[in-house]
Amino acid sequence: MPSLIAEKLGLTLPIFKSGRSGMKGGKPPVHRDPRFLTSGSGKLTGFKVLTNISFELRTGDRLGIVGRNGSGKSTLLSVLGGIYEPTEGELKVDGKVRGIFNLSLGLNNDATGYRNIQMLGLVAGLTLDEIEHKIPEIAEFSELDEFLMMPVSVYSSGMRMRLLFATFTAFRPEILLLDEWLGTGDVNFRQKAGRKMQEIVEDAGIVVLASHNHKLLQENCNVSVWLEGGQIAMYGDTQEVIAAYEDQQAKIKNAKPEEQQSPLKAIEQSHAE
Amino acid sequence: MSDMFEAQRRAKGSLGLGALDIIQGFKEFYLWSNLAIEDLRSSYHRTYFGYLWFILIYLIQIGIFILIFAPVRGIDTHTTNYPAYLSFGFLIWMFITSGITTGARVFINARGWILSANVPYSLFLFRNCLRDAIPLLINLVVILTLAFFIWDMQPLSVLISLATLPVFFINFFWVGLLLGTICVRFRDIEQLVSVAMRVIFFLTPIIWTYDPDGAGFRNQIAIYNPLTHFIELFRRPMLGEWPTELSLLVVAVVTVVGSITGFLVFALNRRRIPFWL
Repeated sequence: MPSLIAEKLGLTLPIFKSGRSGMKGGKPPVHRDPRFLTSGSGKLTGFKVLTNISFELRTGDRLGIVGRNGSGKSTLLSVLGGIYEPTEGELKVDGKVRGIFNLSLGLNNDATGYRNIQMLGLVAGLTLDEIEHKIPEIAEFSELDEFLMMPVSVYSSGMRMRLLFATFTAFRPEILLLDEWLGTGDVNFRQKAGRKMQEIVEDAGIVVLASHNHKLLQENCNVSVWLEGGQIAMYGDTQEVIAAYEDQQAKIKNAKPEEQQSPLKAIEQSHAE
Repeated sequence: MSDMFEAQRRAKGSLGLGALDIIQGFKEFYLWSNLAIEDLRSSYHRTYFGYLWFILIYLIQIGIFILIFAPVRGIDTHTTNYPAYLSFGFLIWMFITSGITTGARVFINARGWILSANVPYSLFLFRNCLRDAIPLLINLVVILTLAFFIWDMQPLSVLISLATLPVFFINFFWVGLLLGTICVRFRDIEQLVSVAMRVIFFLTPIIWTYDPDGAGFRNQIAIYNPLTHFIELFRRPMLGEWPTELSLLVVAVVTVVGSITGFLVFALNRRRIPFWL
């Protein structure tokens, strides 16, 4: 039975200076974001993207991730997908994991859509024969048909997304990680994608979905985390998490300019607590 | 299953994970052989001659070298069979130089894969090695077919020469582990490597001959250049002679020390590679 357990995950990305900073005037701004780590001499050494992330997902769970830009959603997905090894804590993964993190990665632009499906299938551990059997399903679901014989370089971002989504779901991963990209699909495709995710979950799987599209999360996820400055601000039932998140967003939007809190201030506070 | 979660759970420390990466990478034979074929396919994409190009490129280059350099003073065409000397030397040089320059870029080029799936990184080196070994072997078949007609070849010593090929594969692999890892972090090294290889070509006795026992500047350069000994390991048996003891020693030391260094540098930095990409 697939499971995905995060125990106090933390990730610090190293920062090293290579060449000029590119900023005119030389001196970078004072870094107020407490996630920046500095050495004794004041030199930037790292950025703590994620701090103390814990949750437990079991068969049938669909986790949504919400949070502002830069709150660590995509990075968390990359950690769950094993791209980055967490620098703190432990990640326990049981099951075949596949993730679509970025539409520009993992596709060979010169090769045809068909050849790309083969390559992605091989990485997923399938044989060419097994992949061949999946092609009709992928062609049908992605609505790409004849386009599969054309190089991916001519695809639009919507087409790339459909190709990746159809391919990864056709390979039946036990754990599927999806980053904010479903947005590039039209309404019709989003509905189809929702049904497909449901199928995966029914096949005893786990889905993790990071998105700014709250409706998408409400329809597809039973639990959610709200990330703020790389930390979990709230973890629980999707409806409650989204309600609380929207509430906070509305407060920021409606606040008078003088009481408006900068996002950085909010992060600072959440670290201080 | 091609992902590394199981290995990451089982591995004891960086060295263990590095070793598991290489073992698991090798086991992904089906994947890396297909990636290698895909590379070859896409590099001759939409060309009329297709795979014939790597034979043509090789034959054209050695043809021109032979025409131009055979009459040059200081190249010994009396005691050595210069066309054979050049053909076999240049053939193995192409594999060596490609191993070093593509090895430096191996993880940089695999960025898309490394950042989108939890795969063993070593599989990209196996892929590179196969991608370069295929043209090497095809050219070898072509030149040997020609050679048996034109030159006086000794089948037994040709076999000895072919038996040295695994040594080149092993060295191809560790060079990739070492340079590949370093170049992800220090991108300047990669530029340096490609420039250096062009210069080293002229510092290695491929188009010129040398005397292993001789004195003088040029002979010294040849003797102190480790690549000379790698080339001699392959070329000498082809020409019907044993490699010198010095060549065997240099190759053995470089292979052992290099393999250890390459493995350590890779294993100790493996987890940082995605951050650096």
